[in-house]
Amino acid sequence: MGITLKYKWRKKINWQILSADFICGALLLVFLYTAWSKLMDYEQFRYTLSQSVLLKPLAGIIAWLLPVTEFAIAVLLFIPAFRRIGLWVSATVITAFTIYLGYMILYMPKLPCTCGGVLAELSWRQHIVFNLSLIVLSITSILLYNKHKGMMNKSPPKKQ
Amino acid sequence: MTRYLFGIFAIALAFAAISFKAPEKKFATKLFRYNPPSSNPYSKPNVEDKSKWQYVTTSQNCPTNVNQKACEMQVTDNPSFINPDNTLSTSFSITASLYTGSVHYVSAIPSGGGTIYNKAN
Repeated sequence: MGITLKYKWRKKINWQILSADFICGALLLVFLYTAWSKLMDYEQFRYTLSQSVLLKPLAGIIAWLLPVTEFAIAVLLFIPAFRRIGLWVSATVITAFTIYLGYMILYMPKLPCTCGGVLAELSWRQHIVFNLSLIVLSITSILLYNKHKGMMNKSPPKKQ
Repeated sequence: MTRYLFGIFAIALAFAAISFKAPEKKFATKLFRYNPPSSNPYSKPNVEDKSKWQYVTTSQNCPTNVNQKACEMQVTDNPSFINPDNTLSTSFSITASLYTGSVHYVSAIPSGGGTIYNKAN
């Protein structure tokens, strides 16, 4: 009986929860890396923001608010109990950023990207594709977690 | 604990990626060449005008020991000195000194701003 229960538990959550956890790990990596890169190159980041007509008035605030938000999302994605909130916030922030990218492509395609680290090397269009992938991954992970909502915080059955 | 594994791995990977990239940027420089206008090509205001300095990728091989007229500058790739569009920033100041007549050379740039290369008149 004990073996069956253990087997059922594994069969039910292994791949789907594991996949959702993996996606959270990948998103955590992206947010942590970009936030840290922005802070390491803070002056450059602030300057680039100040060159954008849309963000110029708020460049000073956004320059520190964005990395802080990214760090906060990374924390939410790290803690299993807050992962679903983290994924929602992540999807919202990336969607907002993708809308901003769309604006940049239309009006200021020559301005460099304000994103951190190696992501700044991507073209605007590549960046949109990358962002859309992250949104799809976030939603996939939310759906997977929703599917196993009741089991999310449960520990595996103890050995008899 | 197993549910933290991917998170721990991601944190480790992020720090590794950041640490790996950080040292590259420290000593990077960009080359700027003086583009003299047709009238008063080497006057003090023109040599000190940052818009007359263009970002280039190949050097003209201006000597470092001949201070007669402006040629090139190897500028430290720092947001305080170079704008993202590869123009010299407002905080990067150029001081020109007279060599002869109305010919000037670059005599000073901000501390840590890079290396000056003037050439013979």
